[in-house]
Amino acid sequence: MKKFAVLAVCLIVAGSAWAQVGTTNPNAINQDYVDWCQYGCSGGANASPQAWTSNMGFTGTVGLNGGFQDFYNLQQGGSWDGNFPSGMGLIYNGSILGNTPSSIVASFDTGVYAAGAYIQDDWVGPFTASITLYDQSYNPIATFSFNGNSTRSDPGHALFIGGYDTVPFWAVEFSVAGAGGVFEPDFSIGQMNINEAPEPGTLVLFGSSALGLAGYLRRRFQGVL
Amino acid sequence: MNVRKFWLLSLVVLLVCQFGFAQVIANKTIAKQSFAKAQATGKPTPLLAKPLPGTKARPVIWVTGQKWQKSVGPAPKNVPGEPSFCDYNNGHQAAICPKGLQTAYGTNFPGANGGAGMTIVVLDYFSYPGAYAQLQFFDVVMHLPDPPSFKSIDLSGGNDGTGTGWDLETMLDLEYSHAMAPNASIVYIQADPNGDGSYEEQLAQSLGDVVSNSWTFTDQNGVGVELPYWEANLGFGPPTLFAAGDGSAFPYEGPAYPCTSPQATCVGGTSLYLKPNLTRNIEEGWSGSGGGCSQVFAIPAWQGSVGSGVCAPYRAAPDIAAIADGNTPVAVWICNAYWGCYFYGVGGTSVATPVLSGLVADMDTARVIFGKGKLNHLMNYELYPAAAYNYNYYYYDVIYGFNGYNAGPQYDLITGIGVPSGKALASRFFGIP
Repeated sequence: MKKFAVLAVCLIVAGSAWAQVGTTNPNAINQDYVDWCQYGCSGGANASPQAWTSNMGFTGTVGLNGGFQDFYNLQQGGSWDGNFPSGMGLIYNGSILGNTPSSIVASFDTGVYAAGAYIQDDWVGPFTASITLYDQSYNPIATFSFNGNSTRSDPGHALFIGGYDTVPFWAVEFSVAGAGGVFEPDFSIGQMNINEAPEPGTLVLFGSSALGLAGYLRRRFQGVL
Repeated sequence: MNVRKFWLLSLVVLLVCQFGFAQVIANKTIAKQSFAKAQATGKPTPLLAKPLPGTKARPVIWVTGQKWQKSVGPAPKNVPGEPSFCDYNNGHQAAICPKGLQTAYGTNFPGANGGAGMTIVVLDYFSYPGAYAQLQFFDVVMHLPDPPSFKSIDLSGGNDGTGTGWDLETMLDLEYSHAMAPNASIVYIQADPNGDGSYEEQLAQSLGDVVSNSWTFTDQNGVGVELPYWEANLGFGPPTLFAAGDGSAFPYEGPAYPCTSPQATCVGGTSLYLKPNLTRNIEEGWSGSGGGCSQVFAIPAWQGSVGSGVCAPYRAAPDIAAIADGNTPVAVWICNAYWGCYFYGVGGTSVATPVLSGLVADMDTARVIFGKGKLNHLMNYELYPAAAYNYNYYYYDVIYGFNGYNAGPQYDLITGIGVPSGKALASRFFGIP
């Protein structure tokens, strides 16, 4: 019984190790999505923040971090000639249009278990994108960074950056660092994918880790059982 | 709840049930008796029980009398732990209590933490020695924590406010600033009713993070007067909120000063109707809310972006608004020889001012957590640009109502910009810088 309690504690510790995970795989976050063309994709400016509604009716807001700065609602192939899938609606932070360079924040009216978006630096060349997850009090709980490469007229090859967690989070912040100098972060995000239910992959990983840990402990304590 | 609190609560509930609902005090009598003393020449006047202009007797205070006796019963399930007269009873909105206000105005936003770490200064005239004990009882009944600290400063010169109206004003101000920010400390300044409040107001601004003032200056005829010399007492530190008065649009009873000061944040009034889940259902401009144009003070720079054309070249008031209608009252506990020991349904911009003072404390807590500075006496420089930038995100725009002026989209002379959203204005990401 005592060893069983030890095992349970170990499982909890093992579980916490899986609390947040970053990913570049859009298929890992695939329960729902937000199409930014709900703002028209006309290239116009929108006050921050704006409310959004996902494909399945989930709601939240999006805007530029810091307040009182408009974001621009662009579209791949029209007002943006880059790496996003053709026709995808974008949120652009407007750095070269006079805005103070800012990160882009999406908040959720109800906590989510995973969120991510396609992302591209406005400046050609390698860049590093990051995503930060925030808890219900808007305290940062995890940041993940991945490298990408920004090119022109090459749709369908944008970096996807996301994170998922075993407990709900309430906002995500996107940013980039690249070749744009004082204009950075100067970037757009594309479609945002979200999981409103716990990520099955996480549970599978947690389950397999738990089983593995149990097996390890069983072997370790076999001699005294 | 410990045994002592339980028996204390039981005793009071029994007293209220036995006597409170059978004892109806004539509203008109209350108004006359309570405020005859306070409305001396050139003295600050509490903003509680002025009858509406043109009406004979419709004060914004009344006793929780027989009107509510019929509806006394089990507390509604959606508000566990509150007294049965709170918020909703048998499907009808009764007096609004702390949970109703907290829910309707959304105090539980990221970072707010009940105003923890902030200090609200409440300035009232006359002394009221029983204030803290009665606030503690209010907390027991409403399931609120006591403030982490409560400091009382008596500068009244020995003038006891019991029965003057200032006692009820005091309890209202303390209870509802605390209700909106239950983790904030409180400093209660008891000002000298024979002075003009200069020293007390300056002291108030040196002792806290927001100052709540639910009073105006009137002349010997009870008409509002603006006092340019008194401006020297404002603008020292934190946001300083003043009530806009309960006499409807300014032409009726004169402007409400210090509310019309360019250095004050002027608070108008609304009628707030809740949904059964205690969120906002309807909020309209209150017919009694003070509002109008200053006759002395020029339009401030911050009013150039929103509301600039309403009173130009003079300052327009109010700036913001919250619950004030006596028909959508808040429940205030008071216990003394004059008022007895009852919950009273109370209205007036005296309600709106402490309510929004508490909200400012909540916002300040969030701002500090998010690495921003506290709001200060220049808060209007932040409130108006927010409205100009993204109106309906930062404010609930009150578009219906009449106080002599019509409410309407965006700025109006009943509710100013509207009801501020603490969640939006203090957002880590999108809030005011």
